[in-house]
Amino acid sequence: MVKQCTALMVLLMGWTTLQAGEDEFYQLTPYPLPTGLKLEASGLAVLPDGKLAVAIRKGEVWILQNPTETSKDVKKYQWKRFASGLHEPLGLTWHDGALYTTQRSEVTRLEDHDADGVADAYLTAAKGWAVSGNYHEYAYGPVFDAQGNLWVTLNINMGGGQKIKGFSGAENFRWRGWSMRQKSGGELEPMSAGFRSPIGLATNAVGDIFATDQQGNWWAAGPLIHVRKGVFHGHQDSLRDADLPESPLKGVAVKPPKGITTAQAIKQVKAYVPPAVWFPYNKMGNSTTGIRCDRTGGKFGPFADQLFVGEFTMSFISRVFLEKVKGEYQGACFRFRQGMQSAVLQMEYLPDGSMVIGESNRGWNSLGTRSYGLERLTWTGKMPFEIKKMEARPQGFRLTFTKPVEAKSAADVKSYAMISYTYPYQQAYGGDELETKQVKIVTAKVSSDGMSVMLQCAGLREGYVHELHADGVKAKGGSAGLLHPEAFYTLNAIPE
Amino acid sequence: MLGGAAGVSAHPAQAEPVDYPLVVGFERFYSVDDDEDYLAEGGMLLLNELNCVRCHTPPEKLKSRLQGRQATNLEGVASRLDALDIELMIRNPRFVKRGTIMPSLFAGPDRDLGEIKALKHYLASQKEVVEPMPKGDEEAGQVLYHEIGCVACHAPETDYRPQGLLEGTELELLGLPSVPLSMVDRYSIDALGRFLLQPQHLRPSGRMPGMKLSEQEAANLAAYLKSGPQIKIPKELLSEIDGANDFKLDAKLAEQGRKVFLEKKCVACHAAPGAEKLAVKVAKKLADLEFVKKVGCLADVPSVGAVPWYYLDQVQIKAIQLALKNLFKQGDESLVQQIDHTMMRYDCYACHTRDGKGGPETSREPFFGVRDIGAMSLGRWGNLPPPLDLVGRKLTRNWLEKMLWGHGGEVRPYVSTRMPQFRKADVGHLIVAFEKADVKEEPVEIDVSGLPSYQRGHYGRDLMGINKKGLGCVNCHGLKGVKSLGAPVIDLSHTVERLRPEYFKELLLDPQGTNPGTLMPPMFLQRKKANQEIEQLWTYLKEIDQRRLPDGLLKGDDYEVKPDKDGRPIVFRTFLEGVGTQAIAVGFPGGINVAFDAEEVRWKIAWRGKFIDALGTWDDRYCTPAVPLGEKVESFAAAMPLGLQTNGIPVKRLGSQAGFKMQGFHLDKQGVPTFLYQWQGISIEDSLEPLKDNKGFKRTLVLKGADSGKGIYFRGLKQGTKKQAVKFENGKAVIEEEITW
Repeated sequence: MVKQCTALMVLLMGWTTLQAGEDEFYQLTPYPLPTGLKLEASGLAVLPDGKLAVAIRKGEVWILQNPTETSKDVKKYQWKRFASGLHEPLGLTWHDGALYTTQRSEVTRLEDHDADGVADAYLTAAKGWAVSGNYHEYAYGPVFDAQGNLWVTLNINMGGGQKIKGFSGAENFRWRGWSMRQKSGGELEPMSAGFRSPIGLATNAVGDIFATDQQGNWWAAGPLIHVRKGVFHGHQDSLRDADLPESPLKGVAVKPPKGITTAQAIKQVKAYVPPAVWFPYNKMGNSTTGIRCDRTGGKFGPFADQLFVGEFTMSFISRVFLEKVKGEYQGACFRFRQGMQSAVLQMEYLPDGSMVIGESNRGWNSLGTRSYGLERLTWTGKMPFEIKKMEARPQGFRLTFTKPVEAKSAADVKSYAMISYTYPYQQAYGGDELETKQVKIVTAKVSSDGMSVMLQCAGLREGYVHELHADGVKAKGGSAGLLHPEAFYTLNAIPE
Repeated sequence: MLGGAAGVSAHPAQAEPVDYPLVVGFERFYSVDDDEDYLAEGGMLLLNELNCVRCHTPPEKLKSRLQGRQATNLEGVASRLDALDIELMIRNPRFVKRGTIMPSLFAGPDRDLGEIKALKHYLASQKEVVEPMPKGDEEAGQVLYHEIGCVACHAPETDYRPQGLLEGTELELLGLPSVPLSMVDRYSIDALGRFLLQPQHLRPSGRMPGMKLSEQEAANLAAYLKSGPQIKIPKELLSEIDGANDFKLDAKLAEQGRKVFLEKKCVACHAAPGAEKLAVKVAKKLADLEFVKKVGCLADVPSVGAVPWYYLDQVQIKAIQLALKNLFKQGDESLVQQIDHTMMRYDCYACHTRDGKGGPETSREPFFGVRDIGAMSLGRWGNLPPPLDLVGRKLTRNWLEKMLWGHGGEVRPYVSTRMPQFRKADVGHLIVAFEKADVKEEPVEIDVSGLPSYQRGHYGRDLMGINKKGLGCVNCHGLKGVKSLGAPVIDLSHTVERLRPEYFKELLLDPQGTNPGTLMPPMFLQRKKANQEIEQLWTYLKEIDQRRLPDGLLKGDDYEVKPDKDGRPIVFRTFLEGVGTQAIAVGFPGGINVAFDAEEVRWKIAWRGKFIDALGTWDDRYCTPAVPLGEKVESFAAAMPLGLQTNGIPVKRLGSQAGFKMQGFHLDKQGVPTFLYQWQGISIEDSLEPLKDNKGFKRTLVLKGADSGKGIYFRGLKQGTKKQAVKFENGKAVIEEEITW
C-alpha cells in the first residue's frame, strides 16, 4: 500500500511547532472505540440518514449510529456490525441504495433486505482482475463518476504470487497496476495503466476521477492523477498487459529512454500524462493516501470544492487546488492539518461538514501514537490565513487568500521566494529533485480588495514543480503570517 | 509497663521497645562510633524529626532543610482515644507508646495535675464521626501485615514464617528496632481502620505512608493489630486519674485546657481546632542555643516550665550537640543531599538503595514476599523493591508521580510488597531533584518518531518474540497481562509511558553498566543494527495495545475463528489452501465446514472439525493463506455442476472459462449462504446445509430459466458421480444431492 521511505526529521520538527496554530482553526478529536474492535479504518461512507459506515481491514463493515456524538462514553456512539467475512476491503461508497466495497478480488454490493441493520446479501458488483496471492495486490474503491460508472484501481504485485495448494493463478497478474471501469450493466474494462499503489480514489466536484499513488519505483514523489481512459500514468510494470485485446493502451509498452526527467517523459513516453499535482517528497509527505472533495458548501471552511489528501507515514492531511490549463488538470498542494494519531487512509464528510478520518498503519509505520483509529476534524469557524488558490498565469501566478492581505508586505517581492525542479523518470526507487533553479519574482501586485496578489515571475518552466515560500506576507490588520506559507504548483503547462 | 512477659513477645505491638524517641533514619545510619562530622549530620536529622526547629527558629539558609514535621492531627482525637488514654498520653507519652518522639510537657518537678486535667477536658471535647469499618478478618490481616511491606519498618510477629519461605530457613533476629505501633491497642477498631486507610489524614507528617489498602484490607489489618495483648494500667495509677472509668466533660475545664494547649506550646507541633494560631512564645534561635552544656531539652533530668522532655539517648544528645556546633558550617543543600535527606526523613531507605546506601536489612528480606513462585529464581530482584539509582533518568515524570503519590504504577505483579503512597507536598520535590541529579552527561540519542521505515512496529514484534528473527524477550517479559514463558519479570505493556526512551536504549545497550546486577542479558552486544532494533522495539511497545502479541505469547487459538454461540455459520473470504485466492469458507456450528471458490464458481473442499485460523487474513503483512484447521479434507471433483449434453466444450474448463458468472451470495435468517451464479442464461442458487448427524451435506440447487434445447446435465460434487439430465418445469428446476465422506 505504501512505499519505503526515509524521514526528514528536521522538517518534522518544524511542523510540530505549527500544530498549535492549526488547532485554532481545525480541531481534531479521536473517537472512542469499543473494546476489542480493531478499527483499522480503510473505507468511509456516509449513509443517507447521516450514519457513518466504516470498512475495516480485517474484513468488516461497522455502522456508527451517532457519528457526531462528542461524549467520551463509547456506548453513546452506538457501533453496530453490518457486514463481516470480507477480504480486506479498501474503500466504501454509498450508491444506488446500497454500500459498495472493494475486496481483494471483487467489488461487492452489500444489501440488507430485511432491514435489520445487518447485511444479508453480498452481491458481486464487479470482478475480473487477477489475484495471484501476493500481499501487495491491494484493490481500491469503488467510486462512481459523474455518469454513474463504477471505477476501481489496482496495485501492482510486488514479486510473485502465492503457491497455494489447489490454486493455479500464482503467475496471473492481469490488470495489476490499472484502473478499471464498469458501465452500468456492463463488464469491467481496463481504462488506464501505470499505477504502483493507488490508495486514494475519489471524484472532484464535477465527478472526474482522481487517484493518488506512492513514491517508489517509477514514482519520484507522490502524485495526484487525473484518471481516464487511454492514459498511462507512469509505472512501467503494468504495461505487460498493454497489448491484451481489452487494453486501450495498445502499442504503449515500449521501453522508455534512460536518464530522462518526468518533464521530458511528457514528450518522450507514449501515452504518458504527468500527475496533475506532485507532492514533493518529505516537504509534502511521504505517501499520499485517501482523497476527498470538500462538498460541504462552506461548512468545513473556505475551501469549498477543493480536494483534501491524506498522508500515511507523517499522519497528516494536505489540500489541493486544481484548475484546467490547456485542457488538462494541474494545480498546487498545500499543508493543511497535521497531528493525526496514526496513518491517514481515508476521509469522509459528515452532513454537519466535519471530516471523519480513518486510520491504520499496519504493515508500515507512521507518526503518532496509535496503530489505527478514527478521528474527527471540525472547523472552529475561525478563518485561517491561507493561500486559498494558486493559479497559473502566462507571466506567473495569481495567489488568492482566505483573508485580505496587508498590502505593503504582500506587494514586496522580498516576501516571496520560489524555486522550480523536476524529477527523474526511472525504475530506481524514488528520486531527488533535479535541475533546481530559482524563479525570480519580478513584481507582486495586490488587488484592490486585498484578497489576491499577482506574481509576475521570470523563468517559469513547463513540466516543473514550482515551489513558493510566501513567508513575508502578512494578514491585514495584524502581524500574523500565513498559517502555511508554502505552496507547490505543478506547472505542466503555462496558460496562454 | 507493657503487658506480656518480656522476651516472649509475639505480636508486633509487643516488639522489644527502645527507650528513647525513635527516629528511624537516625537509627538506620548513625551510631556512637561515628566520627563527629558525620554524626553531626545525624543531629541535623534529629533537629528536624524531633521538631526542635518548631520552637527554635533555624537560620534562614537552613529553613528548607529544617522545616520540622507536623505532629498528629488532634481534630476528633476524643473519637479515637477515650479520656483515660488522653490523660495517659498527656502525662507521659512514653507510657502508652514507648519510643514515641512526642516529648512530655509534664515531666518536670513543677508538674501541675490541674493543667493535665484541663488539657484532658479540652482534648476530650474534640470529637468527630468515625465511619464504621467492615468486619475485619484477623488471619487475613496477619498475612497482609507480613507481606505488603509493613515489616520494612515495623517488627514482624515473632516466629511468623512468611509465605513462600523455604522449610528449614531460619529467620534472623532483626537489627533495627520496630517503629512503635503500640498505640494500636488504644485506638477504637474503626478509628484504627480509618487511620490505616489514610494515615496522612491523622499524621500529616507523612512519615507513615498509605499502603493502598482497600477498606476490607484496612479492616483486616486493624483486626490483626488489635489482636495483640492489651496495655495493662496499674491499679494505683487508675485510682490517681480523675474519672478514669466514668468521665464527664466539663466545658469550663475544656476552655482552660485550650489555654494550656497554647502555653505548653502543644500548638507548635499539633494542629487542633479551637486552638487559634497564637504566636508561640519565642524560644531561643537554633543558632543561639547552648551546645556544650546539657541544659534545657538536653538536660539529664526534666526541666521546669514549657521545656519538653524527650528522654533522649546519649548518642542522640551527642549528635544534636554536634549539629548545633556545626550549624554555621552548613552550606546550601546539594541535589544529592536533598535527595538523601528526604529519603532519610521518609525512610525510603527501608526498601530502596540509592548510591549504595540503604535497602532492607537482610533479616527483613524474607518479609518482602513474592506472589509468583517463579520470581524466586530471580534472587533479590524477585522480591525486593528496585534500587533507585538513576531513577530520575529512568522513569518519566508521569510515572514517577504515579509511583510516589498516584495509583497504578506497579509493573512487578510478582512482588507482594506495595509501593506506599506518599503525598505530593512531601515528596514532590524529589522528582525534579532525581531528574537533575541523574542527568547523563553524554546524552543517549534515540529517534522515537515512528517515521523511518525501519521503525515499523511489526519489526519490533518480531524482535520480541520467539522466532527466527526474535531476541526472545518474551522468555522473561510478559505483555498485556499474558505471563512470560519463563521467569516473571516486568510486564512491558507500559514501557512507553513508564520509561524515558533514552534510558530504554541505554539499558538495552549496556544492562550491567546502567543497572548493575540486573538479570537483563546484554542482548544487543555486537548487534550491528542495535540502534535501529531498539527503536523498532519502542515503536511496537508504543502501539502495544493495538498490536498482536509476539510469537511465543500468542496462543495457538487466538485467531481461530469459531462459529458464534447463536448457531449461525461463519462466512469468511480469504486465501485458502485447497481453494485459492477467492475462497469463501463456510463454517457450520456442528464442526463441518466447506469452501466455495468464487473464481471457479464452485464448491471446492469440505472438512470436519475446527474451521480456520484468521491470522494470515487479519493481521499478517504477507497474507499467508489460511489452512483448513480440522481434518478429513475432502476435495470435490474439478468440474462444473452443469453442462450441455450436446456441446463439445471440454469439461475441464472451470469458472468463467466455462461460461459461469459469479454473482455473490444471500444469507438466510439463520445465516446460511446461498451462492448465486449464472450460466447459459440460467440463474442458479446453490446451497449446502449439514445433514442432521453432521455426516455430510445436503445440497440444493434451484435453477431458473430454461433449457435452450441442447439438453443440460448435472454433475454432483463427489469425485466420480455420474451426470444426470436436468428437467425444467415452468422455467424452474430443483436438484438435490447428499454428500457424505
